Amino acid sequence: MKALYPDIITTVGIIFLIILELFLPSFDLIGFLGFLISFISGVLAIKYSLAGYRFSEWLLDINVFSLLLKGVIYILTSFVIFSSVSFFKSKKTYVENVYTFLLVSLGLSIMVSSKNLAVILAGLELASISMYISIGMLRDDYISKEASFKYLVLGSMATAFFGIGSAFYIGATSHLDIISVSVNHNSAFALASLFLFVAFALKVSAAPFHFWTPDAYEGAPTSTTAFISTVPKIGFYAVIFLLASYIFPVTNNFSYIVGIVGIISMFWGNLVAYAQNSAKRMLAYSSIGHAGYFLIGFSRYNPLSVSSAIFYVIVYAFATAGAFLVLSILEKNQSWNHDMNNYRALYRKSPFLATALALFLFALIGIPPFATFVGKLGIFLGLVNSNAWFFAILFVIGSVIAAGYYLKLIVYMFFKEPVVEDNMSLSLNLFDTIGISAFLIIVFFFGIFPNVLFDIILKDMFHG
Amino acid sequence: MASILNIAIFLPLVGAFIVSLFRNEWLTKVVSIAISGVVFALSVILLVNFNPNTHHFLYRTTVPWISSLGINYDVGLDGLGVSLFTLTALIFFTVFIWAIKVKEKPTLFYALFLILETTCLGTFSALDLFLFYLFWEGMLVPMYFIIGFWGHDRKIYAANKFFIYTFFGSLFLLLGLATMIVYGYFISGHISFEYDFHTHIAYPLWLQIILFVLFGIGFAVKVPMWPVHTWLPDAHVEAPTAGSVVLAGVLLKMGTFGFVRYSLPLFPQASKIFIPVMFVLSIIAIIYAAMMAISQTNIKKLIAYSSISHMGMVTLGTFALSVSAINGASYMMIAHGLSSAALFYAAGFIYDRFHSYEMSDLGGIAKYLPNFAILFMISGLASIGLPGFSGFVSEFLILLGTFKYFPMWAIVAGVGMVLGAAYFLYMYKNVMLESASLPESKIQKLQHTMDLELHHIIPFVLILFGAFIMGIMPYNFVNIVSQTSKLILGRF
Repeated sequence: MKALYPDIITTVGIIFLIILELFLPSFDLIGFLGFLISFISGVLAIKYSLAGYRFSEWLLDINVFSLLLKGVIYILTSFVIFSSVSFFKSKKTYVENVYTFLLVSLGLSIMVSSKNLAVILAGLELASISMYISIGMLRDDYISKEASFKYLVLGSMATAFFGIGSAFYIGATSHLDIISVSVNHNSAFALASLFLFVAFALKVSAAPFHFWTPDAYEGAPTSTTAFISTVPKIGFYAVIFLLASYIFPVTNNFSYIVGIVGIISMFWGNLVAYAQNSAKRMLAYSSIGHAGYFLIGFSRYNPLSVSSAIFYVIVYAFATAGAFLVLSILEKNQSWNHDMNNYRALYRKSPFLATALALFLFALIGIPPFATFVGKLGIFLGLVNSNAWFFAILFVIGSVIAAGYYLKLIVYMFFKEPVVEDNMSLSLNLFDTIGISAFLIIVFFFGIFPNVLFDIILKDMFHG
Repeated sequence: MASILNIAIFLPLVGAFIVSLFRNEWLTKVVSIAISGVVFALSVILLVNFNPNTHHFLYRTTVPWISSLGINYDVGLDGLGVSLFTLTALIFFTVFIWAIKVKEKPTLFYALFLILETTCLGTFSALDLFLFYLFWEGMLVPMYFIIGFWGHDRKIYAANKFFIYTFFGSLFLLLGLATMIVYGYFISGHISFEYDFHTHIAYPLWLQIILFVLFGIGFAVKVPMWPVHTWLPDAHVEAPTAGSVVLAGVLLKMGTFGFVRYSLPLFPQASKIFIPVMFVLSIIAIIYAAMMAISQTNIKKLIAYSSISHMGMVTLGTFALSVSAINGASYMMIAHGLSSAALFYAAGFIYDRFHSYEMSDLGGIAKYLPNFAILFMISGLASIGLPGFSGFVSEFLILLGTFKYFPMWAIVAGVGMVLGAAYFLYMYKNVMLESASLPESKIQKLQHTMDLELHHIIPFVLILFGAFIMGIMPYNFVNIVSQTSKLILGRF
């Protein structure tokens, strides 16, 4: 029963915040409380995960692995809220932003708590609908509303795919739970695998289902981008892990479909990123490329590659969220529009922000001692372990291609002279500094001591 | 003694933290020079106390680190390792002294070099594949910023090219490491990144060939071997003097060190199969790079091509697979580290004084800057292998060892070395001599140019003294590196 506490705390907290906001619509107060609620839930979830609590009654199946994921989801949410309050205040958005974030993380948390397709759908929809709202939160901005609508339309398609996939699944197996089934050459089951996979490929923005991503990420308020590009990924990949363990191996050669979607996504994202002039849009394409890496990691089911992929998703989420939050701090400056030229000689204007962004970008390239490197190494080991040579080599090539565009932004920040000298003042308050530093420390720490997280994942995933 | 090694590796990193914490220019310089001096002293202690008769890695520290993946913190030195370790410490010590007058962002400059020093020292002493890769890749970021911040006109292009080429090679190395570890897992049932563990596994031939190619791509880019050498002239020309010195003196050695430490002992049969390939590539590098050097008018580019040519000698000696050839190759890594560092210092001094690397802008310097002329000449002679300097010993050993089994290749390589004398003397003539034909304006300028200052002389003297010592008493040093060579050839 204790395993439910984090979600209960969050639920009660959200209701409390909604009521409180009617009387005291103060961003600082609501933001702080939101941070606190999310942080406490996260710490509790991780504590219970380490203590080995579990809960499997009704339709729920909460084990130590899902508690760990809940912990990461809530803690990452709390960090993002912590660092984004000042951004939202400067943009004069609604105070609702805080609890839409909490609603998304609650939805994700429900999603990872069950193997039942109906519960997963409920969590998925709670998270998705809250995301549509938070993307469109800039009320005077046409692009923000367009992004929200675009995501709404394509996100609903994902829901539809998920629904039809579930229908086929029930038809083929007469189960509503994702469990190991044995069906031979059943085309309904194959269709179910395909539709469920497509639904989540769409959600994690893998090519060729990625068309909403650049627009949604660019149109959303930058702090929201930091949130929607990272936290939901953890939940979605947890479901993909579930599919990869129970459903994909059943149909012959289905892993190739996953791998090929991964490869297309990796090359598409990494190559198109070169053509971008906006740093924000470039990072959106980078997340398409990364979706490719993760799917390649999930394409072959062996303990090392899937647990590395989950590790990689988690540390990637921290690195990407950090990068977007740096962008959001820069955007507080009114004339900032994320064009590459804006970043010229950023190093001189704000050494801290430029260095932090550069370190996050190096982390995304996958250079040691950053944690993402360990994820990459683990996926390599896993791919070679399952004789997926072809994928391994393509993975190498894709990673090299990716290095180029991250370097492009670093070059602009450090080595290029500004076109016109402007005395742009970049305000950097204490919360921003603490928030960004926390992300940096995490990305560094798990690079040097990956076993702290990696061992837990490896243990929980397969013995949870 | 083991703790001395650990202190020496991580002291510069601590220094980098101190330096970036206080951000005081003079404190930075004093701290950096002091720390690199201490590291150099420690490395000399390690070198003097090295026992060349053992079959083990000395000064070993093993601490469990990431146990679920079989990764340990594991450092230790063999003969080649301790030599390169000392070379690295020496080069960095001289770099910090030389750069004392750097004006642009001095704190960042010193901090990046201190980080770079830790990664270089770590690469030569790591005995765990994960740790090795960590240090190997860790050097990429500081060097990228050193070229990008303090470089010359085309610095962005050069820095990006350096980064992409090296990263490309490293990822193949990483794939090789992953393959090797997975095979070890199949054989023994547990994942291990230990170097010792892998030297005790007999890999089947097909796997050795695959691994040799994957590792080889990673190392060849760093050496650099023909045809992946094109990043080097750009990086050298655009890098600041200190960056070029470290690049030529230390970073290039990582590639050849990798061949000796990893490729030969881990994949002996594949190494034998690849001898012709490596020989052809080495000979092409020796001859082609020497010809390219002769045709250069930019002195820094000329020295860069001469580096490629010399590194070709090293790979030739490495794959001749006889004790004296590998001794020679190891010796040449050190000798070339010293002589190329001295030559790059000379080029850097010329640039500081005359703001050009082009031969057409220079000439007749010897008459007006006699001290510099002498040291430049000595550096050049050390580089082309004059008896009495370390370069001679190494070339002699390589040719001797190669001639034993592959006489034709040795003769061709010997011809390549003659070209070395040609391009150096040609450069010296154009840059330093020919004072008779100088226009009046240049003479005016030369008369008002200051000769070497103290912070120039110390690095020159330290480095040339090292080359001289290694040239006149080679036995002691060959003895140290031959421990490695014997160990490796014992596996063939």
